[in-house]
Amino acid sequence: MNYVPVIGLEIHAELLTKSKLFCSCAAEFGGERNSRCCPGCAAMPGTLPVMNRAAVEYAVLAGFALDCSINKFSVFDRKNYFYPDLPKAYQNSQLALPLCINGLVAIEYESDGVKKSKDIRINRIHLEEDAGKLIHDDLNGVSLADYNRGAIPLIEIVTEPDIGSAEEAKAFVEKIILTLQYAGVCDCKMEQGSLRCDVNISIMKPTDTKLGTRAEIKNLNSIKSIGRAIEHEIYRQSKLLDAGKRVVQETRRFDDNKGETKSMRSKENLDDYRYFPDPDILQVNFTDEDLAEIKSRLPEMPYARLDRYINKFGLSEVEAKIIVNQKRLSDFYEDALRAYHNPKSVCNFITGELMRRINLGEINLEKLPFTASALAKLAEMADNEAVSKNDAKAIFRIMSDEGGAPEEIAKAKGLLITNDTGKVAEVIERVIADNEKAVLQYQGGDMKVFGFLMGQCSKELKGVCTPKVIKEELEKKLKGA
Amino acid sequence: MDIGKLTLRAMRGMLDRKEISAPELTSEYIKEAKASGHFVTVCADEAKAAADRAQKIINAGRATPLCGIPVALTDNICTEGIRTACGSKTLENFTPPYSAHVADRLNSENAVITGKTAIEEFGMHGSAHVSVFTADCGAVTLRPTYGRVSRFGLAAFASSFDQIGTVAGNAHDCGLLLNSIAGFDPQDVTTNKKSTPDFTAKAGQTAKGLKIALPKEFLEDCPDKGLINAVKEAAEWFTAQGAEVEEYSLPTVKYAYAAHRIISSAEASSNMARYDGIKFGHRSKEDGSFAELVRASRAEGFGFELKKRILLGNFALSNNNIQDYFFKAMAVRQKLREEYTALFERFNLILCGGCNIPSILAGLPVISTSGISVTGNYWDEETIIQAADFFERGQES
Repeated sequence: MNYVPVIGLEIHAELLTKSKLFCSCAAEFGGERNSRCCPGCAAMPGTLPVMNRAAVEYAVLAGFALDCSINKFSVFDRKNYFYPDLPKAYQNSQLALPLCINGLVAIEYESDGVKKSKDIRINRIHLEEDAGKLIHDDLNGVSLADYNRGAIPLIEIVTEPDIGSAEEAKAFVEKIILTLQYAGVCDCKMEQGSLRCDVNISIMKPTDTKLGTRAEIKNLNSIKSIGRAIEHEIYRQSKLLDAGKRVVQETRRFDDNKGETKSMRSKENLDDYRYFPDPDILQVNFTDEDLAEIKSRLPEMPYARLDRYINKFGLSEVEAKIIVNQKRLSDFYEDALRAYHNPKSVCNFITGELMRRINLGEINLEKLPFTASALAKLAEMADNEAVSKNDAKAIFRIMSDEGGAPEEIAKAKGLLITNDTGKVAEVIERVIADNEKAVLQYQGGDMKVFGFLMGQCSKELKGVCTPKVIKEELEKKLKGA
Repeated sequence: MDIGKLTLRAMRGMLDRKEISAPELTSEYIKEAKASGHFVTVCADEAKAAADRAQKIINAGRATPLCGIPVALTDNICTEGIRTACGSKTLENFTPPYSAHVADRLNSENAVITGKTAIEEFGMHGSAHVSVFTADCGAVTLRPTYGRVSRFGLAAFASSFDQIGTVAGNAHDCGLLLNSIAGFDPQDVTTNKKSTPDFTAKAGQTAKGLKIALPKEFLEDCPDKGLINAVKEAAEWFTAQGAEVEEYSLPTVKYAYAAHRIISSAEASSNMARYDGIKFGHRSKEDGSFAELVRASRAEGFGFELKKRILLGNFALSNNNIQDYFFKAMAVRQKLREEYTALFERFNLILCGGCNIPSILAGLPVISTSGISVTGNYWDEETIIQAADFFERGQES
């Protein structure tokens, strides 16, 4: 039987603040174990939290970027549970009054080759602290705790159960990643764990009015595994229902190697986290002015940039999307335009040569061997016919392999077009004089020999002018002669 | 010389007139501390060094009010490099790598910290009455408004009640001590940003014109008739001295005890959860899973009374009970604050006796002296010190 999947996501995104949520320890990835820890990070007696205002504002920025309403009055709670990665044995989070509520995210995706779009509602975004990391040493039979990641500020984005397929879920997460990156609040490196996703999923018959029992798949760390985990879970739950069995409410994890979800713990007895307002943390009270000021800091969002590229710059939708859909690429493009404002020709270089080499794995967008203004210069040189289009590609190859400035490469390789008109005239006259027979053939109406004459001129005029100039001058001379 | 009877001001005078040196005074106190049985840690060497430093400042004529004065801290106030066990087995070997804000303040004033005094486990009832022995030896205790003194470095028991206070021989001295520890601390966001006044500013004045409320509920419901009589006598005395005393009803007070117990236990259950034996503190030798290790460490590390409080707190916060217990208690607390606020529109003070749970639940400042207690309005410690000081002087004459 065909079932309708009902999917909701919980996305955890670490905020890009300099320091942790409650102390001045650095909120960076990695580092020597327990080197970014203070007595507060270890929950020593008498230590108290001092809320990082930047984290609160980043969470609000994320809310604005995802079309949420911001609660002017917001409260921080304690979520109590014992776990060795949680030094206080409670996580500071928000239950009743989160910072942001009621957002909306429009997604576009393809399903069976058909373009589709859908609005996914965001239930809430709240601010909380990350937990530490446990390192299990099976050889010695011990577990070790690293609290560097502990208390790094995190937002949790919770959707309504509006997602109906793996494609929709993947498109949604991609959209969230792009939006948070543009908002500048999270780097969204799933492989490093700065963005993680939990999937809540149930299935129901198309005629059912009541939702099925859901399973929660925890800690998915790539877009691909989100899709695979959902596909597998739909398959697993469908088989259970087809066989007349029931789905158990539980937490599952996804085994990337086997492509299967596995039970972690049953949630039949719901955990009791004994949430209550933290007496050590002040409630947040925003004025309208505060919120307006924070909102004004929101940079240009992807949809606005796309619109500008298409309608102001005249890029095609395909070109614009290639650039906008990677924040780093788009920022590179913006930088290049500041050096040479010809959106179309810079775009051609980026979507053409640059993307080709990136896709081939020859260069990496995160550490390009040349700057945006060097690429802009190359585009400008090609536009001004300071180098030929073909030579520009050759120069780009050298820049990709070795770095360097395009003018210097062109000069060193003798690719600069000097436009020495005297030299052009001299060479053409000499070629005409040396090839009397061919000239006569041409003048007699045999156009085929033009290519031969052209080749003779080009050989000697390399780096002096463009083939276009040679062609014009040669034709003029042949007709006049 | 009976050192225990010296007031802080008397000591100050003797030190400044060089009738006694700071090291001599400290060594007398260290002797007393060792003999008293009330100290869990006596810091003889640290105190000696601090007294020597203080004496140099006195000699240079730059002494501030607490310079060279011996002070003790309860053992739930963290002191860098000095064991801070909080009266609990779970922290019996805990030496903090940081000092409480108040310890830093006392050190920077060149007060001499002589050691750490015994407390109930985590100062459990500290919020109600500083400790039995202080009352026994006629000490005066001042609990300032919640948020007046930084809690940074005070091991938390019930965060919204925990408030460092001062204990001394009289009200005026309590105020002097408070002067040197009160004020905003960026490490504790619940401290008040108001600038702190001289809390002893009104000591020495009379009670003339003070409007004093006498809580009806206390007079009707307190089971200790002796206490009621003592308060009534004090009320008559104040009236005779020119104060206006009037009975006043605070209907929500009758729920204050339950609300106090519920909220403080709830907070304690959460605050105590960090003592799991993983990072510091007592770890059981019993081997097993994480859950078993935590269970054994806490079973061994905590005393019976504390365990009861933790269980009660968890009960009050659990899914099935939180609305009926915790949030109802929070509502009582809010209602009580409103009743107190209304009261203080008409009165300067509340005269009472015994434990001061309702005042503490509302976060009001209270001073206990000579068998009575005086509660004041938020941030008005000066007036309760005025009344208590005047009452003490009346008792003496």
